[in-house]
Amino acid sequence: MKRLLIAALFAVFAAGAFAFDLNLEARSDFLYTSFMENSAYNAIAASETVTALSTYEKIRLKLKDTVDQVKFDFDARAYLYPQTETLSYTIDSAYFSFENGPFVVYAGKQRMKWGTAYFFNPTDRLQPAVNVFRPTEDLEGIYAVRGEMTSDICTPLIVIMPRTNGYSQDPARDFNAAARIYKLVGTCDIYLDYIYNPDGDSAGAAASWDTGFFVVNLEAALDANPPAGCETIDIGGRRYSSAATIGVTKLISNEASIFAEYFRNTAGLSSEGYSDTVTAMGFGMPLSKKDYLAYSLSYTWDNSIQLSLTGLHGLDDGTTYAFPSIAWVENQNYDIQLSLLQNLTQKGTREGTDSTPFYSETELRINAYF
Amino acid sequence: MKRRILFATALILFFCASALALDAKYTKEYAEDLLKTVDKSLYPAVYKSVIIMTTVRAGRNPLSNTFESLSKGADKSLMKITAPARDKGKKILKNGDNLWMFMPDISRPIRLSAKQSFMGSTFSNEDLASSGWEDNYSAGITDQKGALILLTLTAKKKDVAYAKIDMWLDDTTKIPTEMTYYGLSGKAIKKLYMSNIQKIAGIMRPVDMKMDDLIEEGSYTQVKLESMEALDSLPEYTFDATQMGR
Repeated sequence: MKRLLIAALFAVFAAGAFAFDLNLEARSDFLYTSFMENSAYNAIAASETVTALSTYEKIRLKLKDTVDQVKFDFDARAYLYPQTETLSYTIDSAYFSFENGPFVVYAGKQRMKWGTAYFFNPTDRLQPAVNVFRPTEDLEGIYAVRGEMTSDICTPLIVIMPRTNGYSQDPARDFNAAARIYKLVGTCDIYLDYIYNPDGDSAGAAASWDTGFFVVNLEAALDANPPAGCETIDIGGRRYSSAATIGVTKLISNEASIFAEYFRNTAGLSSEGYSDTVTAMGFGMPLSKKDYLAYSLSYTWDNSIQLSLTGLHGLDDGTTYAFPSIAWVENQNYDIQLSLLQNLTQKGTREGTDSTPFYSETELRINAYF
Repeated sequence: MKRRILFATALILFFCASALALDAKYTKEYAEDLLKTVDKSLYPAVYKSVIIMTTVRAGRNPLSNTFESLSKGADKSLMKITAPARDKGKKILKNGDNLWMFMPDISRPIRLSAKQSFMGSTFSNEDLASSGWEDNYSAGITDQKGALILLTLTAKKKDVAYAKIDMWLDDTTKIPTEMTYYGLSGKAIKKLYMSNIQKIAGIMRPVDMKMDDLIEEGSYTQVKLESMEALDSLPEYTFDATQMGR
């Protein structure tokens, strides 16, 4: 705890001394888990101590500075786990950017979230979400050099990412690269992208269209490295797996909104394939099948009580999760959030029972912003 | 006796009509020119500003945000939240009929419906961009009270936020003092008061605005213009959704 405090104090004083733009967030988190003793639980329990009640303290630090055309951005989070008295940290982003008119280059660890949908982003192969129920939370950036140039015709982007998991003798295998073009047409954003990966290229397209009544989000991607045995399509003699999302968002009033998404992934497992995986590995991975439906409703009452209900339904086997949450935002500089992740899967559906090691998770968060 | 009553009635009607009559200079052309002047008196063509917006809704906690804003013309603006700390760094971009929000945590633009209100306030997104009244409304002067005249704006097209706007303004300063907004049904839905006239960005402008919600009693949004600076130009990439992370 002392080290965490010293680090935070150092950052605060450094920000003052160097005139950085500083943001500090602090969180106390308490999580109670009602475990389900299944194969997924056994796999976790074999490698670490499992406790029903866990807690952590989190401090997040954001620093920004601009000198002429050069900007610096730093975003890191540190966790203190009181039960084990361990401290860990993650640097989410640390990069410089250089701007020259419509041209801008970013170099360093940076977030690059692609796609237009909320839950399932088939085109988001560079920066996939860690937690499908909290897709905007704790995204650790990737090391890359990125260049963008805005013009009247379109906005192209090029990214080069060195592979950080060791080097090979073949230079072509030591990096990934990506290109994307953005164009605004009327009230529709259109993105086309291509990702070079030595293990298999992928290409995708995404759109977000304000129809006036609601916003429609579409995404689709083809992957040239399909898992063995999955449904594929043949293009020019090459086999591709495909994934697509269609979603709508609608603001009902200033207080209420709703959105729903359907996701289809041909690289996902069939029920038979899933059973084989569980047999081979001893446990299964959540959200590894073909068809999912996600939906969310949110309502803010009295400007201070935020209610939301997020649901996820596996159409292949009936796997169902519900994630209701209530947050009290009395003051704009702190909030208290109570949430419940409930595994509603019926007994006998393999994904819900073999890949999810709990019946429910109840979480209390106290957040403060400085 | 009958003749006397008729004469008295005619006399009263004559005086009433005289009182209601507008100055001869208040022609249709004068009203249209005035509308252009009002547009300019409120917003420079290109500018940056800092505003504090506080929304109060009946029986609820007030919400307050501070924004740094870059605006160009009638339909392009980029607003960055600088306070409170919870929302710092979020950005809202309006470009024509398009609206996006940018959150630093996910580093991508999220498209919003352009028809929704601005940040839950009484203002619509159209209210907060430069007015653009000249393009969207035809003007006529329909009343006069001393130096104050009533400029009535009627929508030229169907896709604007209001069917009619009644604008009371001072004919000497050309600055509006009070505006009433009417929906398509003809019902008054909002009322805007402008006050605290100060020299800002070179000319006299209202610094304080208060928009009353006439549908939801007791609800209003206050906007205070902290600073404003007219700019020569702003590059187009400022209003590109993919550049919101800059």
